[in-house]
Amino acid sequence: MTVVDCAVRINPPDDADVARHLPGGWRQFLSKPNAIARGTSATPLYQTRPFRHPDGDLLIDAGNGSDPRLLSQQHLDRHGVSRALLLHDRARLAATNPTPRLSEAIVQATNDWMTERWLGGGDDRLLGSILVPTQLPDAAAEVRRAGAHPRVAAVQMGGNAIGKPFGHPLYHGVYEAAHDLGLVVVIEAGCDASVDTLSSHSAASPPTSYTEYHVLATQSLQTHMVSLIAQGVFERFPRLRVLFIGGGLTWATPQVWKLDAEYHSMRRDAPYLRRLPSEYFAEHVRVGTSPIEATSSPHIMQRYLEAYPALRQVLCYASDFPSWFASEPQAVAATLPPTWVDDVLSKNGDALLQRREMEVTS
Amino acid sequence: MSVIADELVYAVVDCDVHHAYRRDDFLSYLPQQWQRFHLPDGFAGGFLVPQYPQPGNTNKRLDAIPEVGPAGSDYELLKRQLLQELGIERAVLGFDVGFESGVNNPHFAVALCRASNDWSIDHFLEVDERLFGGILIPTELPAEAAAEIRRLAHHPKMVEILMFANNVGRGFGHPFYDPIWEAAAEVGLPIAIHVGGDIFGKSPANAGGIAESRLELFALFGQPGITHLTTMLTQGVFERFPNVRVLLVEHGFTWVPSLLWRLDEMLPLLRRECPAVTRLPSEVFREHVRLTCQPFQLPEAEGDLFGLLESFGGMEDLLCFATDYPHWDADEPDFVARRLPAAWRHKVMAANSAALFGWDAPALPESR
Amino acid sequence: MSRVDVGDIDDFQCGQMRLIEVNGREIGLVRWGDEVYAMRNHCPHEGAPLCIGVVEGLVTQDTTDGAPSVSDRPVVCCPWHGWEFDLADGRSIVNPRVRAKTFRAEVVESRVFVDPGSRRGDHSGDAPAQA
Repeated sequence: MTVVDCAVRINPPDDADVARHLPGGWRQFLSKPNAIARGTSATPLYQTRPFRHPDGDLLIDAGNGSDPRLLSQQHLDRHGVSRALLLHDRARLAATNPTPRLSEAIVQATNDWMTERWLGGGDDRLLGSILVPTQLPDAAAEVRRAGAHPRVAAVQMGGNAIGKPFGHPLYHGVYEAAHDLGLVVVIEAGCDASVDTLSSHSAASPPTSYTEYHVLATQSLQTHMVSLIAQGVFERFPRLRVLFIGGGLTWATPQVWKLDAEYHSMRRDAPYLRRLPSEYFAEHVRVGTSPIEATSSPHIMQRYLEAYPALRQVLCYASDFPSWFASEPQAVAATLPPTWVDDVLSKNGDALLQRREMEVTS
Repeated sequence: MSVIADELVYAVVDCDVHHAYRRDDFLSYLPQQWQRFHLPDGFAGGFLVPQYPQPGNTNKRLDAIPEVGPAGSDYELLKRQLLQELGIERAVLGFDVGFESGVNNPHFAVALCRASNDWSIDHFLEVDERLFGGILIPTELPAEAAAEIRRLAHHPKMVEILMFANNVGRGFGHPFYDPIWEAAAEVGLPIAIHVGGDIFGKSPANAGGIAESRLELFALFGQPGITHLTTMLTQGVFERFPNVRVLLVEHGFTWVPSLLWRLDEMLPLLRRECPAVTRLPSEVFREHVRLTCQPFQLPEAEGDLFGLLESFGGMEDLLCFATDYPHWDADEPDFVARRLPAAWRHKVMAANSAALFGWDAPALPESR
Repeated sequence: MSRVDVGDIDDFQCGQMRLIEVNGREIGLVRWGDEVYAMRNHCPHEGAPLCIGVVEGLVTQDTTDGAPSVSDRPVVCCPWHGWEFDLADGRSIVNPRVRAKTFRAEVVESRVFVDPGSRRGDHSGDAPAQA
């Protein structure tokens, strides 16, 4: 059985590698030529991580996620991964850069860098995600431009630049373009954590420790899932699929059940829905497995997952390599009901990412 | 006293009932200088609450609204509908729902809390032996909150502390709130945290941006309580104040396994980030935290609520029945009792609450 | 069971539920246009007095952008959890497998009759199915 991995993190080796793709005016604005060794920009292209693990956010010796050969050796070859969706790591907050047209320029340069460095190397296993300058009214144009590349499979929403839940109509132009091109929309934990976002990573309080940041990261995902369903995004875009990354295995079940129950009482808040929220969830939402929650025995997690059978088609293996919490396929398989392993490690991801290629070859 | 319906027999303790004052009864409890700040339809310099349309224009059961005054203000109606018709042994009253403690002006909040507590004692708690109450505290000024706890903790009908409003954007476990934990530990009363104290516009009510509808708001209602609980565990609150317990009211409970597994696996880092933390969060949680089970909702889609809860285990010792009368989404005791596993029923419907409030466990009634 | 005369049609205001007791059961009757509907005053969810809830035309909306509209299809909204039940067949709008009990009601020569032994639409006169 081959494995399909819905989340592999990539980084540029240095800003200069991306800055090459910036128009000359922006490049000079951000950097002083020859003033700093190796031509690196004086101004970092990307926001620093808002919360950092003291022992490192990425596995040591994985080359910071910037080397395709290390990715092959350490993960793809070793674990029999036949397809991997590349997601931007430290670039993911670029859309929230407070200078609107600069955010656009950096997003475009990053997309071009990725296409050049990762999708042109002949490794057919790799599929790319593009970032989108969501602050701007013409954000969808970048989806159509960078999304035209045949090896791009997903739109990575990245940081919440508008400060609204992702189902809000202000985001619908991006979804329309993704829908037209058959691209998966990716929403990830940490998308509301930047100091540059108007939205909050967690209710009641911002995190005051890395532990709180990590544990409460599922709250964003829950809000965005609820918003996408309740705002009728899946009615409006009936073929759209949304992949949630970085919350683990257990956050969705209580939230979907809760949304169904409240819908009984407040249907009139969403009278355009023709089905139960949970039906939209099962058909349109996919959940990446990482980071898997540790339980004292695998039976415990299996029992939890089996309590909501729809998850069998919803969960998609996501290693999040080379994050510190990356999980190997065997580790994920051990947490699953045995009959689910093939679906979660292979079939669901294959179906999720497959469609893009069919779109292109037809 | 027991409830009998189709041979189902059980005792009932209700730990979340919302009583309310009629303004005319209440004003005299406020110092003269503050009386004009209490407007007929709100508070001067009041507070912000998001404007989602309410189906039916009220958040109350239509049949619980009396002829005069707001729902929950009429003792006779409450006695009939809640205590008599439902056979409830003891009920804990918690205002509707403690908004006075979160008004914009913290000095006014102090006065409102004192007045609310004094009014509650006179008009409800000392009127009926089955009724008990909570001390509403002005959380934005923790020292004042602590003083209010100490002032009333020894009243025999006060069985909990009502910690509601979060006007400072910090979890209730954050050191900012330490004076409250300290006072609670000193007097030995549990702290009840009702949902909704984070929608005053001072702290985010949910992650990810403002919810676009009441449907979404309610779907996400549990988030602030989860953050508050998380901070209690990440800041070692129960290790520093070992005789305090918390009752989470109306925050839901299906999220328990997900949160506690994640916290447990973070223990090694957690201990480095907060030296007061030494123990496994889920163990501390089981000892110190209880949760009300209202609204009791079964999955609509194919799903197994009890299978999910059993994967974590021990939830029968953590859940406490509550109606939430007279709110629209209140639960009937019978509705819940019938759906609980038999081994859970007495614990959830009565015994867990009794233990929390230091009462003798109500005897199981004789079957008839 | 035979039908019971519950009054003149002009005593019934459109959209206003009236509660009557028939054979020990509380039944809500409401006029909607030229029809009269009858429903047991008991919500199948948690037993609320269903018929003191608001009666209104079902709110619908075809597309996500735009405004909701009110249809001619009458529903009663439970005064507790707000579940909407179709007056014609008693089914919950959100989950049609959940049903409030309905009774056959008809207007004959301006008199309103309800048959407490029937289910609306069931002409055999058998006892109504469980909700």
